[in-house]
Amino acid sequence: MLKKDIIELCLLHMLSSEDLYGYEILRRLHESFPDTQESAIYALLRRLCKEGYTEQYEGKKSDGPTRKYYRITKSGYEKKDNLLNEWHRLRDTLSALGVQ
Amino acid sequence: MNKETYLKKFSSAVRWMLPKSDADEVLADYDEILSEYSEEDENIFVKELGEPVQAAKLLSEPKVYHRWLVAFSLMAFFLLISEFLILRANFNNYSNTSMYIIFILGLSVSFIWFRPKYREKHKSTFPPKLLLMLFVLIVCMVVTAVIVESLFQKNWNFIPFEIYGVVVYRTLLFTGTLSTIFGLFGLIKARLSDYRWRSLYVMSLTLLVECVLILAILVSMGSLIHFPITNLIVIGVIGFIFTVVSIC
Repeated sequence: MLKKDIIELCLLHMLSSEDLYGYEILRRLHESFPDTQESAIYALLRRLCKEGYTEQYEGKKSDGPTRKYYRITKSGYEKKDNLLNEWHRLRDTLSALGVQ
Repeated sequence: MNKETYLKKFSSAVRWMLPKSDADEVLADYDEILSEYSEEDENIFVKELGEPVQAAKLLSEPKVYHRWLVAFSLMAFFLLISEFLILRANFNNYSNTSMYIIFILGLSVSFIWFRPKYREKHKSTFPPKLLLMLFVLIVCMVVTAVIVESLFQKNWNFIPFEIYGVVVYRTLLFTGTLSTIFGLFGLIKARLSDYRWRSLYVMSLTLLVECVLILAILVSMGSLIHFPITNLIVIGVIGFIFTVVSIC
């Protein structure tokens, strides 16, 4: 499992809790992965959107400006579950080997 | 680097590397993302988003981008090989057929690549610079034709007969080189801003091919009997029609 997959997992997990706009997603993930540039996170977000795991819509919250929000799709939930299972397998394998 | 400069550089890189529809979406997203930074955050957003070209590279799909590079190289090759023939001015083992093939392939590749799929949904205003550059090419074409024809007809007595060849060659070289530069510029602009710039490429290639054909016949001819005037007219008419279609 690559770092890219882990970021994708986090991204899908975030969107499964609430819809978010682009900059908010980049900012939150960049805080958790400071050595990964926001442009790289945006590239992942865009790829997920192109592959149909997330979708965009124009939204407005309270008095704020109209922004493009992202939400997770049905196939996005499946992708998230697959990535999560993979992560658990990897974690168990490492534990079995005594890697703390 | 301020936001405007960043977006300008990023826009060029993205438009070069991504298909038009993707580039438009990405630029709209980046416009929104950059608007979240305050003007004082100059160094922060470059650090967090990365250099514009690097950020654009992350978004490009290697297969799609390489396909564009191949198409661009082919179209540029057709211009450059013609320019090379004019510069070399040596037409041993040369056949006019190769120029006809270059002409047809150049038109075909430009039309296949910039086909309706890549067209804008809503047409933007016609680029005025394009009209000006097309006009310059037409003027060059007319001036070249007049000079070559006048020298053939020996209408210009003030020019010594010995330098007729040099005058014709320099005229063809100037027109050919200008066409090459304009053609390459048209190709780049067609990718970066508006597909209608392909008309500059079509017009330049037409003019360039005609220059090569004229030079080839002048360098290697024994008599004027075999001067391919009909072919030149046919190429000119086809080129003109395709140029007009490219603008639409």
